[in-house]
Amino acid sequence: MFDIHYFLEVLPKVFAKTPVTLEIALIAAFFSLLLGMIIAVIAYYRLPLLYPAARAFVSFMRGTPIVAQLYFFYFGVAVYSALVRDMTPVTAVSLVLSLNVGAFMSESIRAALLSVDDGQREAALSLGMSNLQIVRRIIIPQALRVALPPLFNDFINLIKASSLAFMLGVPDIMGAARTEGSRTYRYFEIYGAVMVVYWVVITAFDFLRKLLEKRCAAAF
Amino acid sequence: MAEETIVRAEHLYKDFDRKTEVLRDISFSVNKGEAVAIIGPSGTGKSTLLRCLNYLTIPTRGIVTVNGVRVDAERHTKKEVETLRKNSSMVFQQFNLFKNKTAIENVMEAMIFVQHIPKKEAKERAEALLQKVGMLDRRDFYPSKLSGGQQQRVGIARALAVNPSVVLFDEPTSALDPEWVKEVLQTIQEIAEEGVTMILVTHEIPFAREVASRVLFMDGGTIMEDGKPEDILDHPENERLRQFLSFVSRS
Repeated sequence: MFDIHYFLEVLPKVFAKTPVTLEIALIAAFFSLLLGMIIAVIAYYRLPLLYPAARAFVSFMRGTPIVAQLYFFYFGVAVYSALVRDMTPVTAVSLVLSLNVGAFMSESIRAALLSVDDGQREAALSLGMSNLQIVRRIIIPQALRVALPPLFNDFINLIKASSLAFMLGVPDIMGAARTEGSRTYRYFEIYGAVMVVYWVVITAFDFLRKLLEKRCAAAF
Repeated sequence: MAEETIVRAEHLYKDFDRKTEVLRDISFSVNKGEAVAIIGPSGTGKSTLLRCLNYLTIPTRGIVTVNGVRVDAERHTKKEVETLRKNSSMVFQQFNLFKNKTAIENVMEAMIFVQHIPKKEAKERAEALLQKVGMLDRRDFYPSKLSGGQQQRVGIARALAVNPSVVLFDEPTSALDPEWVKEVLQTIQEIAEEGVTMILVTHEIPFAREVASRVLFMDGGTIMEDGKPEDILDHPENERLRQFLSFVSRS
């Protein structure tokens, strides 16, 4: 039977680990956004050499499971690299998530850049503006608004994917649940609580997204 | 008095993918203060020719000179193209205003970031230009809040802002609802009367007659006729031109 008392007891225990989850998610969000922007600009301008490399990277990151990437890096690469061996699990997870989600974000950003009609670029060129000026002053401000919803989607996926950190022993939300589970075996209540916590966290971010989108829509 | 040549095209050719030949050996020049209208059936290369003059479309062969800046299609540098573009400006069929900028910001953008005019001075000049095109009361509106005709008038102010040697109009009224055509044509006529050099691709034959000091008739990628509006439009001798004019007046 569902034990409501135990559920209410375990809920705060799991919730208390939210900062660990958020730490990983926010660090990875920052770097994946950075990486996504760089790859998107490379793809937008189809820069020689870098473009095929970026394509291969994106294809690979999207085409392989994130768990495999994490294990390959943390346990596989560690065999050959002292740097990875000395890495804390949180750093390792953040890094792999940055690379993985960065690949997804690059696609969201690239699509947003392409959504700005070519006419505006031509108008700017006809006035003698440089490519860099055009991207900075015309394209990116408009692309930002278009990119916001898919980027938030990527970010939500990132929060959820950060739950894989427990597989490397990180005491995040899922980690706390596993510890609790090995003690009481009440998986129904425990993982029910886990899902409620993730749901609340993600809904909070979604509220932020709505606010941001509203402000962006009002801008121009 | 010797007339000053502002635009010169010498033996311009353009083909796409080495197959479709759009421009065939185009040569002409435009003097200071002239308003030249380019007319002709659809798909004869009018817009392509105009876009070759500022290298938005790169000619396959030939030489374009604008205000003394000479660019040879077969050996042009990025720098030359940028300099060429700084000497002209363009008004587009689809307006192409910067959507993230207000009317006045659209006009000021190139003044500040291309010509490096101090912001205060740029603002004053932009206001004067918006006044000229009758858009000063909409100065802080974003393009999304303006009608097509209003957007195009801002587009004209933006094109004038860079003190161009020549303004290139690429079918400036073709995308407008009929109700807005008149105000835009009127604006163009006013600046033509001020002596601004312009080249105008248009389907508005009566307008070309009224505003242009010269008319070019293009067909099949070449200039078939070049002369005064009254000669070209009222006493056409060329058979293709006659067909075209009777077709346009019917529709």
